[in-house]
Amino acid sequence: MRKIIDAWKRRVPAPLPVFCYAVCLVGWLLASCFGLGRDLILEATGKLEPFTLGFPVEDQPATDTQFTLVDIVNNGQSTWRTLSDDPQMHWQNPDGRAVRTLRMEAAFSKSPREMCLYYTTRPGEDFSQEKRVFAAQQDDGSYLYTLPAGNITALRLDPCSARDLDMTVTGIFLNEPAGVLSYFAPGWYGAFQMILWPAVAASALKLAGRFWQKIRHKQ
Amino acid sequence: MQFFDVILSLAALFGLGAFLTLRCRLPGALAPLAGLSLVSLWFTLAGMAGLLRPAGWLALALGFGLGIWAFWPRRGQKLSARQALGQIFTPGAALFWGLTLAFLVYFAIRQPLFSDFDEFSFWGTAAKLTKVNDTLYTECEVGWAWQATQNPGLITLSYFLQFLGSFAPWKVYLAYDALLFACFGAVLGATGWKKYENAVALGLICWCVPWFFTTYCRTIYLSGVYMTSYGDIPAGVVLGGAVAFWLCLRQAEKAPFWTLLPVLALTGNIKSNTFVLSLVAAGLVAADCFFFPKGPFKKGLLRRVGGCAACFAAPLALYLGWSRYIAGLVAANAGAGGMGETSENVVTVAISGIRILLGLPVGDYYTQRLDRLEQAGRDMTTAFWSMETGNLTAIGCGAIVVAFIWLTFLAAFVVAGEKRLRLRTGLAALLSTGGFVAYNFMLVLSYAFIFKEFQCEALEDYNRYIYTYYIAWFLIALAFLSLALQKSRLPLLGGAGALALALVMMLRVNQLVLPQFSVLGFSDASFADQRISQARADAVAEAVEPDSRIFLVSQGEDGKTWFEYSYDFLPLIVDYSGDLTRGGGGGTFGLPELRPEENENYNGWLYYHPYTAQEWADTVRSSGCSYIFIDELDEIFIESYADLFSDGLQAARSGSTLLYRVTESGPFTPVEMEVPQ
Repeated sequence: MRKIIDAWKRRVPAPLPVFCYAVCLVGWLLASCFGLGRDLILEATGKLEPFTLGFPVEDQPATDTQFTLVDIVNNGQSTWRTLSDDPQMHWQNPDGRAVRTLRMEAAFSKSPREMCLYYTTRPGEDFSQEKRVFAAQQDDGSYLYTLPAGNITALRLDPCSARDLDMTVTGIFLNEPAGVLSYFAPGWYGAFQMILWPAVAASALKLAGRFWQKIRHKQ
Repeated sequence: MQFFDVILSLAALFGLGAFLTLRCRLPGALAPLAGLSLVSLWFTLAGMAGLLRPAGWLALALGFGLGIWAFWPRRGQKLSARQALGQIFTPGAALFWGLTLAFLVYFAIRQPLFSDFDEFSFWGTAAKLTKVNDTLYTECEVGWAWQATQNPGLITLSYFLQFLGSFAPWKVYLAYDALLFACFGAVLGATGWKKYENAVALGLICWCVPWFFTTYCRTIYLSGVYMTSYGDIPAGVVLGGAVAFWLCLRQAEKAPFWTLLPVLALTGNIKSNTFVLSLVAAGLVAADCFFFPKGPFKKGLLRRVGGCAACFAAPLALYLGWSRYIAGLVAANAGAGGMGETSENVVTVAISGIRILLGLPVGDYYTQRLDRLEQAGRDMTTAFWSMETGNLTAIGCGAIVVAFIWLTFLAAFVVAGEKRLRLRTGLAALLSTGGFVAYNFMLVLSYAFIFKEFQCEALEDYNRYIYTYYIAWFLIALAFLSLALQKSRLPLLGGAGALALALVMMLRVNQLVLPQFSVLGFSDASFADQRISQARADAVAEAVEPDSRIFLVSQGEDGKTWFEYSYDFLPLIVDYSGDLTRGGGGGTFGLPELRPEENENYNGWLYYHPYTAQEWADTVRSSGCSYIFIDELDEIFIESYADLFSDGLQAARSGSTLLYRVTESGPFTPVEMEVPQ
């Protein structure tokens, strides 16, 4: 082992940083593969299935796959009007089903401004700034929200931030099949972390190694 | 996504940096800051001379030419390409180039926009004016009635970076961030690759600094750090960077002293009030240079005195040159019907302030405002000590920040390997504390004698003004720590301490700023409002003739909309849209009798510009505007002026147009156009 480490040190100009970045790379690949594998298993066992959410129908009892609306009213065929700058669509996850993505197909009478999706991970938890994701507009004009892997107990979709806006929603689709590559995309913040933390780890290990050498030298 | 212009400008900067490193023996970590400071100075002087465009071509040519010369083989040269690159890419330079190129790609993809008030009222608009006119913003036509007087050090940098391309706000952000990264590189100084653990710790601390000293509570809106065109953070970082520059420069053998002078000049050329900061930087450098020579004290005394004098002369010469230039423009603006001098001169205020301290008589202007001075002094003292009213940073009020900075100086003092460096650190700690007192003195005088009364009463933007110095002061302490770590008597403890400090600062920043509210994870929707405004302005620009002047109506606005459209419409000019005696600025218009009561709706009353129908029509016609842009309508405007429009404002009310043509006589007529949704 000692020989291998020495050979590594001789051949690589900065062995510790290279080692830390390599570990980070391997860790990221493993975590991504784990996410992919977990979702494949969930899909195979029927726990991660595509489904749709709809709007409540007047004079009919609410169902598990319908939103509860706040400051949004029906304004005709598939068209909904917002009554405030903060319209909301709430959904409680009744049976703990897995939720990974939400895609909304909608058209707006004017700019929707900010749109986001809040989520909770524990029953009874309030929606908060810490747990929300933003939409990424797709090539077909729909809006895709990607939730973190884990338990989702409730969703709050803020479809827009504008009063007196008419929106025509043609569909809200959850858990649509995602491409394999999406599991390996770290995101901007993730990429920053992958650059930063291996460098910090290498620095810490180097200092720890010198500390260890000092102790051994004293002994 | 146009970014090749930025790449070419950065390539020229690299050429200049390579020349400074390989031919002038400037340490690689300092080359980016020296290069950017030279660029800023060059364009400032060229802008004042009205030669911005040719200066840009010359700067690029020089950058590339010097770069080629730097790498051109010399007779008898033993330096290989690998060694040359090794000299250029020290950890400090690698930090600069790594972050700058990463941000270039990131911003080019994400395209952040201006969104804060002062970005529209000055910083962003001035940058766009300068770019689209190839003339310094001070001499461009714009709807403002006053003369812009802020210094151009930052704005000229953004001009350089997008010289060959079209204007984009993200390029402005990139230019200012590059300046910050160059200063961080200077703080890393002579730290080599062998001590990369120190470089990582110092780099991470520097990265956290702009958040750490400006964020005081958990953010629920987008944080502007690394995405702002305001000058407050750069002002602090450049002051710290200037002192760090000197500390690294004096370590190197035969390094060119003159490269320090443009950095000091830039320190004073960022905002109107940064001249005092440049004097602090010059003072710290001069003291270190004079009292701690490399050889015996008496050796080279005259040369050191000359060097110290040059440190003060560089920012002073630029300050005086700029002041004279602005004085001429202000007089011309006043002569043309605009506002003349709008506030007291900083130097006059400083002299009067010292006279007040000494109990000497001062003019009526100052005696009438002594109560303001007392109030501002009291409020600033409270803000310094109180955790409730003065919680300005990630670790609390000013008193805690000062203790934190002194602790950093103490750490540098303790780990420094040489007695001489310990003495230098101690002197810098004392002098920078004196600078803090002086800066506070200038600030209290500014609140009392320069700012408006309501600004003094509310101690408005105190955090923005004071955190500039906290950032600078901390970076100065950090630069001494960086120096101490290079030849430390406690290398292990020093390195571990620096890394621990970096992690604590990172942890605290992460507690306060969520990724989605930071530059690293912001949502595209953060700029949705700005995109709407820009789309409306673009649609109007499509519908009008080039060089048209636009009169703005935006009922219910508080001034920001007028500033925002003044920016969005450029190069079209949005008129001041009103006259000075009644507010102007495209606010809310209406008949005098419909104005809200002051005690019922203060803002509605304040921004309401009362005109009779005839007065309003005359104001529009005499403004020289060809079109009226109706951004927002309300019942008051319709009731007041609908009869002045041929369709009684029906087209605007129905949303089929945003524009009316101004006619010589008769009603204003609607213009057909595509209205963006």
